[in-house]
Amino acid sequence: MFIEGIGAILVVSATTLVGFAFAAKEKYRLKELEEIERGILLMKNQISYLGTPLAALLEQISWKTEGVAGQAFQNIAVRMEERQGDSAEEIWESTWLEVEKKSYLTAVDLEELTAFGRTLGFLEKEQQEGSIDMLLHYLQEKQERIKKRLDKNGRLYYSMGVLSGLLLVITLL
Amino acid sequence: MQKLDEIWKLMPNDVGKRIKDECVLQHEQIQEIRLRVLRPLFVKTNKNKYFLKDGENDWIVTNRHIKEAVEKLGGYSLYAFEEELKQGYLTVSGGHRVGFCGRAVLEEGRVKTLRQVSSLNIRIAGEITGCAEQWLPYLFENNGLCHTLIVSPPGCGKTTLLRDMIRCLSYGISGKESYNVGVVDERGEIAAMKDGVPQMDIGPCTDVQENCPKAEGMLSLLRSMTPDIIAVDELGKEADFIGVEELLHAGVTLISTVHGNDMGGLQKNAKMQKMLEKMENGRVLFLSKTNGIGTVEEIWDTQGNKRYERGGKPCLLRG
Repeated sequence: MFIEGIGAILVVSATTLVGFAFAAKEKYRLKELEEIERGILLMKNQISYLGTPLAALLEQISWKTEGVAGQAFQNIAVRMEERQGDSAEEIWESTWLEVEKKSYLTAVDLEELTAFGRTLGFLEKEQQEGSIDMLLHYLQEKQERIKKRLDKNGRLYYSMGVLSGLLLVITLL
Repeated sequence: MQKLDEIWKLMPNDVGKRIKDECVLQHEQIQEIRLRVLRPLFVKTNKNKYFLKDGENDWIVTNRHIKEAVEKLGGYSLYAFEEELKQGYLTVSGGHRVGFCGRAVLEEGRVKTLRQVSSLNIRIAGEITGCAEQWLPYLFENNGLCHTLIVSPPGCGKTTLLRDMIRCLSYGISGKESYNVGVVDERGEIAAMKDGVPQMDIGPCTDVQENCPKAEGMLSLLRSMTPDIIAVDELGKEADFIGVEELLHAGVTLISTVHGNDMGGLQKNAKMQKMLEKMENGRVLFLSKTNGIGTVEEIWDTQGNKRYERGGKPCLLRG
């Protein structure tokens, strides 16, 4: 009886954690998208009003952004300063693919980021601002959707976790 | 040994490697590198000028090389260098100057920017410490420094000589006193500033106004830094001469470079003639490449007396 009790507690805890993990994953992705958006907005301002070169502005942005976004901006700045890539696109893409392993971004998010990287380095100011606006539009739209989904399904993930655990325990007992 | 690390960083890897193998390993001093789309890579050194070979054939520059070089030279940020592209050149870290040629985009009849860059000319900045020392005595009259113009066609070493004059006067070399020198470095070639620190030796008493139009820079230095001397590179625009005129009235000594060949040619240019008239007891040094870059051919004063002639005896030399 004692062992069965411990087993039931472990099963319910495990399924509850899975529910939490589902909700947390979306929350962390949202946080990362927010940080990237903040960085890209700063980038736009620096390009529009100061014309700062990418290496210098990404270095500054990396101090003001957290998590994988800050890390990615920092790595890109260093590589650009050292001219480690043949093009800005190459440096941007390889860096985001490296931080992907540590992030909650999806394949679609990364595809949008790398598509933006293909416009870096050779455009005039107005064109560069245009490509930044397109990325900002995507980031804002994604965040809206995630927020709506979290509002709608956030509690559901937790409840599903607990209830599925209980169901499993009852069935097994 | 030339400091070319900055240049290799800015070149496509294979181009840099090829030049290093061919020239640096032969202990040649590179002066100029030219990349032209679908044409051979050209290098000019202190010993030779040649197209680099790939076995029997010429080593051909491709579109990819030019695109990659332009991106790297512009720090992957062409939007930040629109003004420089419009002018047709860019000064990169180390003071090296890169000239661009391509398709000009016009707006209201004026060049807005350059696209489809097809040729690049990378001029390696040379710092020859001490090259000005022997000429300094010619620039003094009654122990006072005279206004000085350094004149030559492009590529004869004007900027290198000017930089060393600044260094000498700033340190107080050749038994002269140390002067406060203000430098207007519009194209970043004289001091090659990086994060506010000059990459070239321009002396301890030198203030640099970087990336600023010459006329505005000269007046700004005059107001803010109380210089004894103001040095500028390549006077040419109408506004530059207006700035110089104000400077001459203010009692500050001017040292500058201009493009030209000889005294006769200078005097035919109305703006130049007017400036020479205002430079009382000034000095004009003419450079050529006859015995290598930086050969001083003649030194004149602005009253029309020849003070030095290559091969001839120095005349009218007074300290």
